[in-house]
Amino acid sequence: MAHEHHGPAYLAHHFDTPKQQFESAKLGMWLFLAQEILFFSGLFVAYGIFRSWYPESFSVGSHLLDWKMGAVNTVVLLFSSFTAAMAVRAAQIGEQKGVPEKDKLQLGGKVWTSRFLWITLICAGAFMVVKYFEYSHKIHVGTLPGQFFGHPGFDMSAPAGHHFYEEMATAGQLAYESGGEAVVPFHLRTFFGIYFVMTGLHGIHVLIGMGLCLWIIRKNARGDFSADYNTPVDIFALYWHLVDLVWIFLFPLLYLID
Amino acid sequence: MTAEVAPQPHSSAHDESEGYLTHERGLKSWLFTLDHKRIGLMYLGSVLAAFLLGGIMALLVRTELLFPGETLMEADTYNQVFTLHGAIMVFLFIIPSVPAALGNFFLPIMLGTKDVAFPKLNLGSFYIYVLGTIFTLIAIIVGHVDTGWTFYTPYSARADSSVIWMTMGVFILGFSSILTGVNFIATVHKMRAPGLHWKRLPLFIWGIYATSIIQVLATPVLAITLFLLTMEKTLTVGIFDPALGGDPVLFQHFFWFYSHPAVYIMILPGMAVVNEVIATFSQRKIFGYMFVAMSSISLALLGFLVWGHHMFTAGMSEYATMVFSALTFLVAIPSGVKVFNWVATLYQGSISFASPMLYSLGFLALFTIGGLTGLFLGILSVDIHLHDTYFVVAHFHYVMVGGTVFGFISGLHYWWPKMTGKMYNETLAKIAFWFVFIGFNVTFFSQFIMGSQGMPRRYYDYLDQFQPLHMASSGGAYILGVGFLIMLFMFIKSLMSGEKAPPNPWASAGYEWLTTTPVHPHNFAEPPVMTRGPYDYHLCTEEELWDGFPEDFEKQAEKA
Amino acid sequence: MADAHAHDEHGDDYLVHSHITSIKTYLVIFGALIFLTFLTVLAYNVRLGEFNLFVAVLIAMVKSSLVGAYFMHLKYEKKFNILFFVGSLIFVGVFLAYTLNDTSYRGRESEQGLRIDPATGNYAYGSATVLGESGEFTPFPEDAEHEEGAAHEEGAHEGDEGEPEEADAEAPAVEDEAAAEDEAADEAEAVEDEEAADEAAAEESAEEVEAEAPTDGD
Repeated sequence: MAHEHHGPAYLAHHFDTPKQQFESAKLGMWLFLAQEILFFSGLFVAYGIFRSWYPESFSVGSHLLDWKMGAVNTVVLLFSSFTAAMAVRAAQIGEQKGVPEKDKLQLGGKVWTSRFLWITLICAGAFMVVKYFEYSHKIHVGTLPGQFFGHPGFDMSAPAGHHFYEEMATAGQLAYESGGEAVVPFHLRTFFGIYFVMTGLHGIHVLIGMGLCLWIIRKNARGDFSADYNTPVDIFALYWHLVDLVWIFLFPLLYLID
Repeated sequence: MTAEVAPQPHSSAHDESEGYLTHERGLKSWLFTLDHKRIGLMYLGSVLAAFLLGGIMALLVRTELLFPGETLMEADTYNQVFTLHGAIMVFLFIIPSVPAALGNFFLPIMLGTKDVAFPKLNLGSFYIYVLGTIFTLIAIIVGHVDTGWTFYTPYSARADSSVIWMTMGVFILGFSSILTGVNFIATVHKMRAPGLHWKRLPLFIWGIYATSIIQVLATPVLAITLFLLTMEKTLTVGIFDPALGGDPVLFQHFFWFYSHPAVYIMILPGMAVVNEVIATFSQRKIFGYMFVAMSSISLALLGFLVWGHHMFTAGMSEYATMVFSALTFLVAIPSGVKVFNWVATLYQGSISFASPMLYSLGFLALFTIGGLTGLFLGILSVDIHLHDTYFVVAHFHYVMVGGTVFGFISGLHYWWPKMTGKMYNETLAKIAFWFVFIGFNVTFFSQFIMGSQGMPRRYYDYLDQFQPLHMASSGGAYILGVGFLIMLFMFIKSLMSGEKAPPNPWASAGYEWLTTTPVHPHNFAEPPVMTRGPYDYHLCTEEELWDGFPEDFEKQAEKA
Repeated sequence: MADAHAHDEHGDDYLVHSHITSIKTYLVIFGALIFLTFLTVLAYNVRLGEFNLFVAVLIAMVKSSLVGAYFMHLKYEKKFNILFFVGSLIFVGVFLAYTLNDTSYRGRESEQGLRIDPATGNYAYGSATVLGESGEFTPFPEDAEHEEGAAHEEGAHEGDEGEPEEADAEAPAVEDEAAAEDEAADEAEAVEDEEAADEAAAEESAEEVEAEAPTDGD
């Protein structure tokens, strides 16, 4: 019966083999990721519709974002994805005890797993810092969603300052240059609404990923993982790559509209 | 022949102290249990409590509508009560009813495994459900939610801020549903007992599996919809609010992209139960097994393509309405396959009209009516007349109550002996059935008539000409309520003083009846090996289909 | 899953055999991703019109396939896992395509608050009768109630265009405003402009811009 269990310590009682346990976990995670894709899909559908309705607002709005910050964040996130993949690799290789020095795979084992995970975590932190600067600039200026548009700090009683008018002057100029009237498109506020919701929800995912990363680092430091059992590292990395995937689409769709 | 677990009933030296209900004691052993059976029972308790609450709301609504004008409550209160009836019944009761309660209990047993793939996640889903329920209850207590269970914008975007509590509650409940789905799909794929290949999978599992696919793919869209609605109310993002350039019809697209597939989240498990019950009480292999299994999967997938038929009159483009209407008719095909196959299974079966079977036959009749009236509503021109009338209300109650609730209750009767180890009073159960069946039809058939005459849904007041039909409908609701009270009394009586149940009281060939009663904490004392299908009555031994206690079977065999 | 069949005592089906990718592969993929990021920014600076969106999404899809196939090991994954994950994108496609099929072909409002058939570009059936021979709007002198009802209905259906109060406003006023604007302007933009003009903050800035911009309109 289950209590006189034959398997290794990491094998849960209701599984027969480590392989079954691993494949169940992987399948579960892929199902969860499919769920995440559908979760984000709503935002992309809203984006698609409003971009097709208000192309001018979206074009002008994208120019009011700093594409350089977006590009930096893209590179940072891609690099963190790379290190997450390397962390999984390091965990999969394990300690290689008894393997001759010349046959050892490079950058494997607990220490490297930990190092790569820390780099991933630091990159995620850097991403959030850049996001913080982007957000605080917009909140300060007042390029905010819906009725808060023109009201810095989400304060309905606060009048728009000269920063806001400068931005709007740019917006008018841009609208004129792209062949329209030299006025600020009304639906700029919808663009910023969508910008905040999309990047905000993505940012929440990054924060959750940071928490998970810390948890995995702790488990790794405790020596939970080996070449035979490293599923949690794998699962975390899958989540992290999905966060990266979403950003790969968000960057050109929000920051780079003609 | 049946090398499986057949020996188990013999060795019923496993007395009650070894059953899953009693092998551990104390509140903690329940609250922190990872046993899918106990989690299933906790779900069952919560779901039944929600059903009671939602039922009380329904009776309040029907009482108010007994007479035109104010009868019991003000219009404002009435709006809140019907909203709560809808929200509680849909999100707290129907969606988790069969999958989370009965599915949790029987899916691993039918697969011959010890537990679901992720037991901790399973317990987590239950507590997420509890958390979502708490949020919903807060919305009821502090607030003023009168948007209807559909939360349509622009009204919901401008309505009282307590709507946020309700949407957050439903958002959280959605994640409980998603995680249950993830768990079940992984379990079905990876945890099947040796010999249990896909063509032997009980149809209950097929149904739950199809449901889980929808739960994983559709529920996240509900989550994002409610998230955006919350953002609309707090940040005014302007996606749904026309004053800010948003589109209220877009909300309906978002909402029904989930909520139409959700209709299949509700009905597929009901159908899944009916498969098991009809096979058992006809003592026959399900006719066209593979067709029934595949019709569940195709219903799950087709369900994603037809959401627009809820919005024909909402101002959608003409092209979209035509496409949605045409696709809607496709749904009738797999539904028809199921109904015909069930009828074919009954044909020449040795049918016994035990209470679970009565509910399943009730399902068959009521679901057919509900399904066919759905086709009326899928026709563009007819829908213009019937949209948002009592015809729609009657249609979905025939499917949701006549279908899902009858399926759920059928399953509850069918598996009650296995879950609790007690039998119930069959006479009382049959009396309750007739109250429920007649009460239900009186309540909702009169609504079909009212709807076709133009009585709009959700209205507080109505013209005098509708009074007799409203009166009939309310009368039926009281009969229905009495039926459920008799059932409640019957089940409580069974728990208090029911006879001890034998392992296989219905002489079923299903896998779940192969284990002891009450169920072993690890489902089977020895891991089973499946050597026949769950409906292979012709391959069963007399001993396997013995509907009493194994000891008595031995005595009888000795006598002979 | 071929590479690391190193040790097993329990037989092939017991332990997990992970596919270990070489550092070189990961580096090449990472390099490709950075290169594609530059390419996106580059493509953004080239004016391709409608094509810009297509190129941006195409590059993003290539990037995400690389991340999926190598970083997420989809290339070596079980078939069902690939099917479910990639299959979920089909549902996103259904969601997007069906919704756009509605929103892009939904009737629009004309400047006079009448419904335009998206297929023909003319006034939709039932609206054209309101127009005189010259195409000018005559607000139902004999049946004012009907006109009001119609305008209100349009306002309720067409969430994308303006506030309901605007739709209810008297037709001549709307016309005047429209005339004041550049007549050659695209219809949709004109509506946006009107709304922007209503907005106090936007109005001020618009004046500023008008001062800066050489001429107004084309």
